[in-house]
Amino acid sequence: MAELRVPDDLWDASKTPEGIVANWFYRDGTTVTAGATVAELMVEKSTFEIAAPNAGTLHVAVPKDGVVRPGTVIGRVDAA
Amino acid sequence: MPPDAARVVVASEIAPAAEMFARQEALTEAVIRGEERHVCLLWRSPDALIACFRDAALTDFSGARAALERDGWPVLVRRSGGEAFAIGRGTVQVVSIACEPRRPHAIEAAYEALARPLVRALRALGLEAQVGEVPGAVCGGRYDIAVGGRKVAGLAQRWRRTAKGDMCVATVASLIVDADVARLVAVVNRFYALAGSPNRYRAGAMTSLAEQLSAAGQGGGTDLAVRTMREIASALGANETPVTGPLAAA
Repeated sequence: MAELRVPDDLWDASKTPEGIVANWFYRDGTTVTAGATVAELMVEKSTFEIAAPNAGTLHVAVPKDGVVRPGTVIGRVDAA
Repeated sequence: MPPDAARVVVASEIAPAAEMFARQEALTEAVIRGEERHVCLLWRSPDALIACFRDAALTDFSGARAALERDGWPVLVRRSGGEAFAIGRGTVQVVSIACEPRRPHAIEAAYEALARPLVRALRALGLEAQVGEVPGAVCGGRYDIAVGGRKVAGLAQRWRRTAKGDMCVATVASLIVDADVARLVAVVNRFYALAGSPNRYRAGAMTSLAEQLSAAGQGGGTDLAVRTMREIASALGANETPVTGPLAAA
C-alpha cells in the first residue's frame, strides 16, 4: 500500500494555509498504473500533479474540492 | 551556456493564442522528456480570453464562450490555477519552464525565480514594481506585480511530472504593456456575468506599463512591447538569446 501524499514542504503554509484537490483523474476503486497522474492539486494559482507510486487499486481519501495542507494524505494505491 | 541558464525564445510574430499555447506545450513536453532543462518563451497574440479549467465548470461556460467568440474573443482553457484574464496585442506573455529539484517551498521558489527578473526588467524600463496581491484586480494572487499600487502582471503555475519522476514547472506571467486596461477588465467581467459567476473586477486596480510611464513623464515610445520583451529576455539572464525579427541585436 502506498500513500498519495501532498509533499510535506511543497508550499509555505504560513502564507497560504490550504489548497484543494482540484481533480481526480480516476474513480475510487479503479486500477491505476505506476506513474499515472491520478490527481491534481490547486494551491492558490498553482496546479500540481500527484502520480501513483505503484500500480494497484486507487482509494480516494480526500474528494474533489476537499481541502489539503502540506503532508495531507489524499488517498492510497493498494498494490495489485 | 551554463547548465542552469535558461534558453530564451522570443516569438517575434504576433500569432493566435491557441497556436502559442501549443508552442508552449511543445516546449513543456521537451522539458518533461529531458530534452531541455530550462526554457523561456515570450509571446504576444491578438485578443483572447484565457480561462482556468475551473471556469469551464461554471453554469453557462459554453454560452459565455460562444458569446465572446462571436465578439472576436476566442476563449482558451488553461490548466494552471487562477481565474480568467484577457490578453491581446498590448500584452506580453512570459512562460518559464524548468525542472525543479525537490526543495522546501518549491512553489514560492519558482514564482520568485520569474517575478524577480520581471521586476528587474520593469526597472530597466524606468518603473519600480512591487510583488503582492492587488485587491480588486483580475485573477489576483500573491505574486501579482504592481506599479503604483495597480496590477500590471499576474503569475500562475502548472507542475507536472517528468519522465524521470522529477517535477517540471511552467511559471507563466501575463504583463499589460500598452493594452486598454478597461477593455481587458470589461471582457473578463462580461465573461463571468454570462457564465453565471459573481466574480467582478475593477479596472482601477490595474494599469499598463504605458500608463505608468506616461504618468512618470517618460512616455512609452514606439514599440514598447518590443522593448519590454527585450528587457525581460535580458533579465532572464540567458547567455544565449536566440531571437528573430525586431529583437535581433542591432
